[in-house]
Amino acid sequence: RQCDGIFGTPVEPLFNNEENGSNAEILQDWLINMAVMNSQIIKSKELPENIFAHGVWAQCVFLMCDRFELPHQTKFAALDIFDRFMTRHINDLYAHVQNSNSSKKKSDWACILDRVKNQAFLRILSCCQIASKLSSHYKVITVKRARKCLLEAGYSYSDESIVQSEMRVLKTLSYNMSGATCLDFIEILLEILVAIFSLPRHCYGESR
Amino acid sequence: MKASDSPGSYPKMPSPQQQQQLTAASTPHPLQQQAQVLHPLKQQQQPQVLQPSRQQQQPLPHQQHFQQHAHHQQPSPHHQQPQQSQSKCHASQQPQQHHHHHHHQQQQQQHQRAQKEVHERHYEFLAHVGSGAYGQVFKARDPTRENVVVAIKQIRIRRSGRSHETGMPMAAIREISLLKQLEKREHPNIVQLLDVHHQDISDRDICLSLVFEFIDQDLNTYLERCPPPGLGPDRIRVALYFTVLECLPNLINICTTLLLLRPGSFSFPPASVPGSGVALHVPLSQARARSALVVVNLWRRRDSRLGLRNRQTTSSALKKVGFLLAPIEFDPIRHSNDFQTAACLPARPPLASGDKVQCS
Repeated sequence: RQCDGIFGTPVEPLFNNEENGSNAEILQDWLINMAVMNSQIIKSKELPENIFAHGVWAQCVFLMCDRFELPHQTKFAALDIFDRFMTRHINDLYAHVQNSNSSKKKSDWACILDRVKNQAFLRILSCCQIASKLSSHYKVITVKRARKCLLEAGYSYSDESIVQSEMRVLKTLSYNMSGATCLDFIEILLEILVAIFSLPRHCYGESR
Repeated sequence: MKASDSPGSYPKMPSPQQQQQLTAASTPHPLQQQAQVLHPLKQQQQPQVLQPSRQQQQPLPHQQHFQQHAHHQQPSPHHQQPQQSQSKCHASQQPQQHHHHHHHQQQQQQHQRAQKEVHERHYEFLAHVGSGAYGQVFKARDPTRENVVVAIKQIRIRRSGRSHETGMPMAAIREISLLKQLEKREHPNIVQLLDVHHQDISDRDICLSLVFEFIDQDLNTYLERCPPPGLGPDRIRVALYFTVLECLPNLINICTTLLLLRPGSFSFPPASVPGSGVALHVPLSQARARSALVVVNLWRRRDSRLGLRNRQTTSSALKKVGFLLAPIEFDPIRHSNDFQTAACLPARPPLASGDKVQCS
């Protein structure tokens, strides 16, 4: 029996746990559900472009989540939030420069991009902070911890700026925080795959 | 802040920041505006009259709230006649005559704010409905749509201070996230979240407003008015089950949902006051509702004792939904003792161990 986690709860990632495993019907429903959700995302206009969801950006988000010891689900949620936020944020800024009456739009834009670069670390932290509040209970990134982390990385922000940044992220996303992440899809696929090959018969009973 | 040190005195001259804003309004420089967007704190300070000084006794939260919307008035009349101001004040209230000069500038400032914050709407506040740890709830009318009454829950967010108080509250983030996921479904038993916005109300606080549909009758009165035999178990079961189960497909992260499923969500805080979590206005017969509450409470306590909250997988979470509903299905009073025992048991969570619920 797996009892290595805190108070006997198993460690993540957890697949086909005999005690908590879902039966075939639930898995099927679950899969169909995720498929429907996926097709809705594809149909909708807000198809994520994943510009910021890979490479060094993703690495930075994950490393920060590691630093705060956040679970996997939170990592991917943070990455999702960050990707959607940055895409929209930059689009907003670009539209703003486009619509302005300034004569030197190009240098304005360069200036804004510089600012975005400088703030990227803070934004990543805010995204991790929001994700941590969404999914876990006692490992929430508080403002104090956030400030400490920023200091370690060589940034000096006040509590106020950290709160403001968090609000800015939420507002830019119009408070749409949770989307389906790739982890959700991987989880269900693995659950089914492993179930097909290795699950003891009694869990599936007649349906097998 | 200067003005907050002497709350009674009204600033006659615009502050440098206000002047800067006024000049910026005529010739908007993109970078300046950008700076405003990125550092709203520096530029968007509300008139400081609103803010009570630290020495002064804090007015009641709802008074503060009305001040923030009717901020043309001096704070002193509010303190002298709080009742009157409460009944009269609303968001669109006109300022008093002798502040004409200042009013002009404020209007410009407000105008600028309105341009920047498109989402900000002005609701006409009607009454103070309730309050709790989360904040204040007001009944309000939406002036843009006729006959639409909404419930506005206001949560104060501190910008700085002791660390555990600052930042966006966890409960609020979860509630918004969950309701946003459910909003497409438009379930009749789940309160609709119409809008979320925040605004700066002073240099210390941000006010986060959640706008809900207003639900006319709260559950307590509903239960009290219900004739003696109460509602049949069938209705209870149907309402509860279907609400929860119908909504599951819309929820991506069921683990988060479970953190929100609390007794209050099912029944108790009156549904007209959107409690934290999903406010389901489910008709439960009184006795059953109470005992279900006990059971669910015990459940939560057991979990927090065992430190389970942080470690859930979707499948175990799904199972827990079943456990939450099961006690209501069966006889909760008889089994509340079992749950109590379960709550005290160490290490091994008994209810996660098998397929059978104890109260089968």
